[in-house]
Amino acid sequence: MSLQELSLYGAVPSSRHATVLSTLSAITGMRPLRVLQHHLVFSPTSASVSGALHPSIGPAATQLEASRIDVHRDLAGPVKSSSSWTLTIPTIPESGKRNVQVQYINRTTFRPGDGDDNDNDDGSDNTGLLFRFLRALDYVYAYDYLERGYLFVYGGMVIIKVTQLSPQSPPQLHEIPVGDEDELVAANVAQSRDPANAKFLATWVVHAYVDILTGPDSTGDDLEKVRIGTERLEALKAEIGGIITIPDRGILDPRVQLGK
Amino acid sequence: MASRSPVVKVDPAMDAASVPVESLESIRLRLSQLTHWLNRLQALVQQPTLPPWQTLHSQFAMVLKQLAALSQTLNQHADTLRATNAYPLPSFPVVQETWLLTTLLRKRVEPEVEEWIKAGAQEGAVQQQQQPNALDPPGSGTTKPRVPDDVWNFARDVVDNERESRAWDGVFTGEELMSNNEGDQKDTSTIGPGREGDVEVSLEQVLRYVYQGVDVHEPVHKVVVNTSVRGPARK
Repeated sequence: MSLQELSLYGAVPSSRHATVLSTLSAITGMRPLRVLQHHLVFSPTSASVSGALHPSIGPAATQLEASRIDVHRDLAGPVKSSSSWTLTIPTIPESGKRNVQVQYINRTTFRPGDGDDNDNDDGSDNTGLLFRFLRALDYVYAYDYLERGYLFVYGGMVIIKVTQLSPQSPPQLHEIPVGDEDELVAANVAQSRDPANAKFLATWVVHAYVDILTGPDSTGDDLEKVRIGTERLEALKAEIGGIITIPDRGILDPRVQLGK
Repeated sequence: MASRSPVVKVDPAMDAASVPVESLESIRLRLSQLTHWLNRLQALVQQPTLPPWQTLHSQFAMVLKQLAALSQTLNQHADTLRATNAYPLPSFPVVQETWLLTTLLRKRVEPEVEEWIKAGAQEGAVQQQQQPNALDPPGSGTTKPRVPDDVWNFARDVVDNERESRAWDGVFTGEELMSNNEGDQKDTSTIGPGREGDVEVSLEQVLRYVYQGVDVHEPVHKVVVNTSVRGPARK
């Protein structure tokens, strides 16, 4: 699924997050939905640059660098393995002076095969498969983090996430043959990330975004949707008094330099 | 003892059929329950250490309930009771048991009970008088005030002051607006220890971590872009 994402970001110190939450709740007219997600980020290796990973949508079609892949899943359910992983491949945001940030991303949900008759009740098997799949595309695990917070919907289009992150230190591994490394890292990562005990950063990140379907699945009225989405985001920005803004596009550059 | 209806019937034997057994029985039941609960309450209060107020409160509630039931029963059988007269049968040994007889047949209440009844009647009359003037603030006039007027005025002043000293819309507090006008927001990599004992990081640092894996606590001088394969970048 190819998306064009219009975004505005903001940061709120923890001392004021309750105020912001109640303000957003009043603006959107809804109680916040809880968000609890586990994100893994994979980097492309220099072994080879697989053509399948270059985002082929949007003006940034010919990249020499490949993007990192962010994989995330919900931890809110009772059983970890019941939720499936979602892959997101972002590109560097568009340049140019504009009111909202525009970024093209590709997103898909990773589902294990139906013939999966493993009867494990923890998520280790699922995560191991994920690691092996990405390894097959020459992507290796780089780092991961937990994300928890709240989610609002504004104007039927804008999704506002107010979350805290908990960066996790990557598991330290000694010399291990390449084949087994994935399994160990996967098992470690999937099981040792405990949201209840994780240390979250004190800053809350506000991310207001509109995802517009582009590319082969779009319905052809992308420009109109972009215009409306931009309007909604700007309206939201006005309503919450300038908390959200556009960060430097270099910061959101997910690309990795690959040696030739 | 026997009772009979106002219809005069000369019948030396006790007329068992005219005794209003059900009424008396139900009243007796209510009275015995009330006595039981009152005894329990008294026992609770007289303990060496007083039990928690919840227990006392629940007992008291039970007593009130019993009282209500009793008054309802009395009301129900009022007609029957009004028409009932207790009198001794000829076979009662009046001369020996004069004191017992007068005790049982006495209808006059004790002096202090009389006081209570008088006070209650007065209160009731006053309440009824106040009914048409229910919209006036309590405490006006010579009736017993519940909350004095000046307490209400004081409360109103306090609420007004509190309300005016706060802005009820907008997101930033007064102090933050002032400090934000002076300081530069983009530049802060540490704002001070947050509540969780962690250093507040800026938006740029967080986003840089999310997209590039650069350590969150690395300050943002100019844009530090991490294009290395493995992250988070450690220096």
